[in-house]
Amino acid sequence: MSGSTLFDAILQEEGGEDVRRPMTVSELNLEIGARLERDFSSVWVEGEVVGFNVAASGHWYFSLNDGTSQIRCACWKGTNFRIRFRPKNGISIRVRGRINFWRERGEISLSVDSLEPSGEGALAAAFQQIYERLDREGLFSPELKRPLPFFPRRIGVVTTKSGAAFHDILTVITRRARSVSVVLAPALVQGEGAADSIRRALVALNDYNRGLDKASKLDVLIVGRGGGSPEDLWAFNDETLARAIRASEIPVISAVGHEIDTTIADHVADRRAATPSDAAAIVAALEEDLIAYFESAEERIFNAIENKFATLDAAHSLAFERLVNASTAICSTVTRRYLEAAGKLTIDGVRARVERLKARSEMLSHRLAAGANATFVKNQTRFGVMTAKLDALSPLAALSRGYSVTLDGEGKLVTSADSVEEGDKLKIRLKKGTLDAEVLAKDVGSE
Amino acid sequence: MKELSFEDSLSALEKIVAKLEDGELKLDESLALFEKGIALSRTCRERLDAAERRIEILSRSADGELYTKDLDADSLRN
Repeated sequence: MSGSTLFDAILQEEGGEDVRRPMTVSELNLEIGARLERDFSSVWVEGEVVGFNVAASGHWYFSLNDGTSQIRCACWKGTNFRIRFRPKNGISIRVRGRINFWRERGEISLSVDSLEPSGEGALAAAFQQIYERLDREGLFSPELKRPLPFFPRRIGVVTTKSGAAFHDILTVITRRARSVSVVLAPALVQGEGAADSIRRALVALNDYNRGLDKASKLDVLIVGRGGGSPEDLWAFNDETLARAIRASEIPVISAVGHEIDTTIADHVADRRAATPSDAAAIVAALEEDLIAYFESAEERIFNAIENKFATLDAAHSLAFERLVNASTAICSTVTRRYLEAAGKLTIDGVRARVERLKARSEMLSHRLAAGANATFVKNQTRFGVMTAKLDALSPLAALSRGYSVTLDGEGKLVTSADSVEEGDKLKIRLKKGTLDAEVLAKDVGSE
Repeated sequence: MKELSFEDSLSALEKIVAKLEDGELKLDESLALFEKGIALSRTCRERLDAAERRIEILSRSADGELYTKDLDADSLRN
């Protein structure tokens, strides 16, 4: 304590009348703290995590190190519960925070308000953490994926206005989809706050869409950006954005970077396009499919009608052929002879009947040509009845009932015993086969 | 007559094609469907041809109302 006394004495001596006294440590630290906390109220720092530790209280303690310098950091429980990514030693992160000067110990630490991974290792670790969490919740489930609308007429795009993505999308839509309109909801797509900006644009498009009438509703959204480094694309791995994409009332196509880049947004979207151009091509293809469908439908309709005509034509020819065949059969010698012999129908009568059938067949052909299917069916039935009637009169039908037909040596029908002599050779025709016979005796009898 | 949506037009067209391809119809019915189908397809295609593309940008007014205004696509190409 003597040293301190001496020091005080010297100061007092030099101070003269203007009584000077040393600051207390508390005063000094208060002063230092006030200045530091004013000048470093919001800093953005990148460094490697060292000595990461989660206290029993739930606060996170660690240091950030860039190989030369180091600073202690604290991330309070009330803050870190909002950070969906848990840092670990050796990975690189970016933090935003304010300097805290601990007056009691004269120590500095950085109070972390937000924290995000940076650098390959950190990004990979963070991606894995977010992916696993959302996957466990089922946000990537195929059942949640909605089909794209049948035919999009108006689409929403979330990206930067001046970016390559919007340019590419417009180029493809303009060239390939003549009837698709586009509404851009501009957003920051990289850097601090990008994820939030994209999410707000997405939500705004949904809000806007809710107020539209059915005809002007948005059919699909494209959310994306052009290629860049993993850090540039990082916003599309944001968990809150992922949830907003899943919650969108309008189906979402993700279109981030190049083919090889896969983001959380790609996993959670209804459809993933490899690039913004591809997303626009998907939309354009739906219009092309629609036009192709109309063309094929017209072709199928024409073919069906042609087939219809061809079928009718064939039916008509077939019917006519059957009538002609039937007529020929009716006119066959045996029938004619039988009918003559039976004396019930004259040959002229049969001819007249055949003529009527032919006439009917002609009439039928006209009607068929005019497409009257019903008439055809009806006539077919009528024709069937008629041929059945004729059949009943045919000798073959009589034979089948057990009667036989007797013919003389010249093949003439024998209808009277008068026309043969004893010893004549006759042929007897049965239902099945013929017999050769000889007249042994005859009895002329009476008619 | 109210214009059918593309979705409705397509399902109507699909039904017409299926009926015609089935071949069970009478000729006059077939012809009626043929005319209807072709007219439906032509109307849809004409509507596609007549559609006017718009490029717009979503904005928010001072009182928070969301609205769109036309975006000059040419101004973006620099």
